[in-house]
Amino acid sequence: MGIIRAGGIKIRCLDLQASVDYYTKIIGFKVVGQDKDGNVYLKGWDEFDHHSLTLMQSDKIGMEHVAFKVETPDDLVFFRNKLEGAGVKVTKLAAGSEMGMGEALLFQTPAGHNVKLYAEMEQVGIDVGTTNPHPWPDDIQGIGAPIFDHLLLAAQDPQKTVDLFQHLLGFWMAERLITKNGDLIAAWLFRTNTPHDVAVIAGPDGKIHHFAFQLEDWYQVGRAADILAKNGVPIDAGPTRHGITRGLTIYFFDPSGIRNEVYAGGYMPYPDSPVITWTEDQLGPGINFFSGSVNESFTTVFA
Amino acid sequence: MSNWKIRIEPDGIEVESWPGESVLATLRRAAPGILIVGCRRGGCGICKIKVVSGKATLGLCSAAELTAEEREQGMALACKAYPESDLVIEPVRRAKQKLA
Repeated sequence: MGIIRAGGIKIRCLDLQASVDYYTKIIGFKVVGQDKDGNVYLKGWDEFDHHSLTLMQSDKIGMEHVAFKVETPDDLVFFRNKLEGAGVKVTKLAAGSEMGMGEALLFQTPAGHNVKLYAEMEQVGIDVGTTNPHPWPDDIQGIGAPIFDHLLLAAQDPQKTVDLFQHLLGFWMAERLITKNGDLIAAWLFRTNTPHDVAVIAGPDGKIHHFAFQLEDWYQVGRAADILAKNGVPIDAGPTRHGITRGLTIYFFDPSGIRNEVYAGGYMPYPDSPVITWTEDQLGPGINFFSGSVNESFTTVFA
Repeated sequence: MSNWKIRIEPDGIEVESWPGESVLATLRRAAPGILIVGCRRGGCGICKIKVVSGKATLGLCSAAELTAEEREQGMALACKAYPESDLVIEPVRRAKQKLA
């Protein structure tokens, strides 16, 4: 019962074809369809559902919405009541608001991000099948990211958006970053068994800091760095390790300037795990454990 | 293509643009620490400048960060601005860190 993962993200692209080329040839996702409005749907090779990434043409870049999958249609009723009971305006979307997607709820975080909840999506299956599967498929392109993993939302008042995720949507907090006075700067929240399915950081309302693809291990992160460099993809930070979440990481920018991450590792949090706290003076090693410092663009650039 | 000169105001620093370089690429190479190097894709708007004089070709930029009105007023994103003459520019937002 409840949210089972961050199922997908829809982003606005300045040059749709350039983004399709990048997310297929460099990230290694596959196109699964295009709707009548021109939106292009993609998935990773290890995702069962129809899609996890939707690209739309726009003159303004950014995130159109993030979609979380819930376990059953009853969860949609539960969350609609819970959100509306707390004064959040919820719109019910008929099946087919996205290719392959069943009925959905649409609402906004206090910072203005569009959030969808959905229970059903057509399954197209993983590329290696489900009977005696090989560990990875033969036709991987570029990095060959298997799945969409998480995203980081920006909010002027991160506490309010964190409260929505924790108190209305049932997320647990793995880690947090606080000021000397104890005010929240950022929080890493989870519903799965990774340290974050969504995180929230102080920044301009409605924007995102990045969204991330999961990789298997440190070797795959290093290989991804080679592929990014060979293709002239602007790298923002890494490869490095995060102190926060212990993840192995690279940050880089897609053709529209939206920050992507490849992420591997981290630990397994549980709902009863005490929250890990980082103090703002330790942001450097929290983000970049090796250098202990953060590049200015990392804390100033949002999409 | 020529090696155009780019003067950065109010510093008065003058740098030489190499063929094919965006204004941001030139500043990153020759005058690091003045502009923040962000997405380099015309998306984030962190490298916004005012082109005080001279001509530059401007590529695709997010209208959320550079409006049509700002374009008319001579504003540009340095990562998508390619000089076609000597330029005088003014950064809108300056880097705090020395290294770009």
